[in-house]
Amino acid sequence: MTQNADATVLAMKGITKTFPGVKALADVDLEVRTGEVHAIVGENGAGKSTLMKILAGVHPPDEGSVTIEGEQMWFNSPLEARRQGVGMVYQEINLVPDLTVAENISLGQLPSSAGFVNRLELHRTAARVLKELGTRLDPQEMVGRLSVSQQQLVEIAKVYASQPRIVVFDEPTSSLSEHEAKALFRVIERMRSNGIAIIYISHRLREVLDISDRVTVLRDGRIIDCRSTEGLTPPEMIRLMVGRDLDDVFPKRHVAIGNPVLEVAGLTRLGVFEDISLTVRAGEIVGLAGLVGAGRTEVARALFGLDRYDAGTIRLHDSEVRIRSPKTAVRAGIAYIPEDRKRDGVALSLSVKENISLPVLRQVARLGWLQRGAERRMTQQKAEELYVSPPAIDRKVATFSGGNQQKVVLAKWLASEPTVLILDEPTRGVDVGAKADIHTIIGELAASGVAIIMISSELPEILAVSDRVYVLHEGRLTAELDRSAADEESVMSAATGEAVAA
Amino acid sequence: MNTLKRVFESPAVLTLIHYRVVVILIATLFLSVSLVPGLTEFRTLSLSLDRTATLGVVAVGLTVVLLMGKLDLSVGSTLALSGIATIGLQDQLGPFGAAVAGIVVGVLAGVLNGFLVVTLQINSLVATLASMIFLRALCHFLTDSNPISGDDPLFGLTVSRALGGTFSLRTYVFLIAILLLFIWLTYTVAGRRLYAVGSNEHAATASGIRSNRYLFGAFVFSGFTAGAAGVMQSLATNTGSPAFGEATALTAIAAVVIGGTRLEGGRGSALGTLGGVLVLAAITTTLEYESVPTYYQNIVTGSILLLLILLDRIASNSPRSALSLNSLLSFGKRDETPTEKKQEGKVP
Repeated sequence: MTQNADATVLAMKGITKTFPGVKALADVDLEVRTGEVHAIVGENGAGKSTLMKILAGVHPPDEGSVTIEGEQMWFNSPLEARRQGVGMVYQEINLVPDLTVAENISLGQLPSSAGFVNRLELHRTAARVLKELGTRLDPQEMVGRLSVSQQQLVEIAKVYASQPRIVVFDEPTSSLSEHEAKALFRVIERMRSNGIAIIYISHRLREVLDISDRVTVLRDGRIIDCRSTEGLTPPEMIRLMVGRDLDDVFPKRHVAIGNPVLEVAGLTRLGVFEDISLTVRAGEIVGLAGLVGAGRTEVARALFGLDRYDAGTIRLHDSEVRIRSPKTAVRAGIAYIPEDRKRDGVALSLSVKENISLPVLRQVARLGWLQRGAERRMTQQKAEELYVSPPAIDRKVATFSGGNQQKVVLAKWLASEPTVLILDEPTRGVDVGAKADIHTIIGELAASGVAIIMISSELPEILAVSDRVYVLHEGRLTAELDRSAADEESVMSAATGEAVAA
Repeated sequence: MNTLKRVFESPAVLTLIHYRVVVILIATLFLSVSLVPGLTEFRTLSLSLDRTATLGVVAVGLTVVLLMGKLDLSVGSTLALSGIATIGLQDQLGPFGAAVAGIVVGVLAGVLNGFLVVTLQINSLVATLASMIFLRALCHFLTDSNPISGDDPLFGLTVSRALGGTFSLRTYVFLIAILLLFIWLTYTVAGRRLYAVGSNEHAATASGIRSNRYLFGAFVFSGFTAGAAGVMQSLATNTGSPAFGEATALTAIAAVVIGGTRLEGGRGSALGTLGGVLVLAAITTTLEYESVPTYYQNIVTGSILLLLILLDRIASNSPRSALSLNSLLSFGKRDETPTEKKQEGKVP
């Protein structure tokens, strides 16, 4: 390993990658030095993960070269990349829960003699690695019994044990609390001082500014800038990422706010969320913020009848309703755009038409018989209203891009003319153009008097669009902030449970 | 490799692949007609259809289960059990009542499967494998492993005798079942919801559809059609046998899959299943006529199955795949079991 602090460890040059129909990366250069934390930021779909997958040997690039310590590499598989010292820490945990910490750390390169595992060596390695990272995990503990953040440390230890030259952290903190994230940063700091180059990908801009030395901004598959982190501010970074002012991406329409439509009091699902009370008025967009795992999606699912709730009341237009199933929710006028589009949102093997009409088949049918002409007219109109492109309603949803699939999901629910609309991560994995389209539609819906709840992990989105923000932390409401009072700091401190308001 | 790719992506080939069920059907029928003399005579045609009707009715029920992305392996055992009820209860309930009882047995078997798969959330392959074994054992237990025969062989004749010089009653049952399934799947709200549940159960639930009811209903329907098939077969042969339908489940699944229904669910059609049943019937008739042993027939069936699945993948990967017009009209032969064949030899 080179001791020269400024030596370039990794150089990716002219990387271009095209997927069917999408140019994911266009002539991207990336240069990472020994002992630096290099952040890569950009919107969903900007090409961050494609770039990292090329580095990790998952995808081969169409053009361009990858050089590690001056030696050109051609990775044909993740295994080869790992052998050449590229370690990856993903957001998801890929450990075997029924094995011990030590076994997981050495998995894939178990020390053995004559086919038998050398347990002594196994534990020695694990103990050494864990100590070097400054953690206090018991190597004998079963991984399945550890907390998520502890499991993540095991994941990191596993990467570290393979003596990498470069370690990529891809959204490592998205399921961690502030406190746990700090522990992670200490580990990263240790790795860096041991001469490992760190690539750090995160949506949390504050965090990026705190931890990184340099930052590379990607947008639409191109490098926008690569500069020192010093002196950079979050708004500047957002401008670089998005390429336009926030108001253009998340247009906010000013709408007269009416009477309360949805009033939730003391909603509880044991062990998941507790005592949630919130109000949404006609024409109002209410943001639901919080860390991953804070219970936002779970509250939404309960409101829509996908999960049961154990206590609390839901009032719609001043009369109490009991939501037992999505069917009752739909009848009551609630619509839910789910977080996991592929799982809960679209039926990929069906056409756009069949997807849009799904919740409202009764409206285009007489006595159980489909009126195919009426269905066609209705779905065609919705598809056009929502700028589904191309507006070919007989094509299978699977052939559309993520943004257009999301518009299909929106169209499907607009057809049911809801009075309450719950949006769970409505623009995740969607490109900037579609994002603006979707927010225009949301704005129009609010203007037509729909009460809207929006969940988003992207703070700028929540802040730009919401009239009010509720913040959740570990299943409890920790803050209710007015549009004027909500900013990155106030929301984050409530989301991490540091400021407890009422 | 690239040349191969270009060939597969040429418009002509894509069109052929798109209508693969029709193409294969025409090919097999052409082969049958040229090899088997007299197949085009109406009487022969009618007899051939009669022999394939039982399998066809089972395939109708299975189409719905497969559309849901599930499997039902128990249809053969259900068929045997309801046949035993149809014959064995004739003394107590009379021939008509016993036939109804046979259908009820089928529905109950479907309820059992629905309970296992939907309520207890057991994987449908495992659940129906268990009920397949269990119901088959019940058949042997009830009959002491011996076939039982009814008192009145003439009652059953109505099922397999040609009506007014056209087709037999069970042929009509099969064709009408296909037609009803087609209408149901294509023109009703329930049919559309069925596709949605099969394509993505979670998304369907999130759209306010009670997916579990549709899943449960699919198994009950499959039990019902297997029961009806059992009634028809046992009446036609005047026999209830614990050995009936041993190969029915897999053959019927093969017919449905050849007809373009995908095991992943969400795609398939009634007319496709008709095509699949007729393809298998034509192969069997032809190879039987040429005195080719059964295992060779199975080699042909297996090969066609694989070929169609591979073509299906090409078709679903190609960008233009919208409508599926496998409307077809034709004929073919298929025998169910040796017992039935012997019996039918006697029918004038």
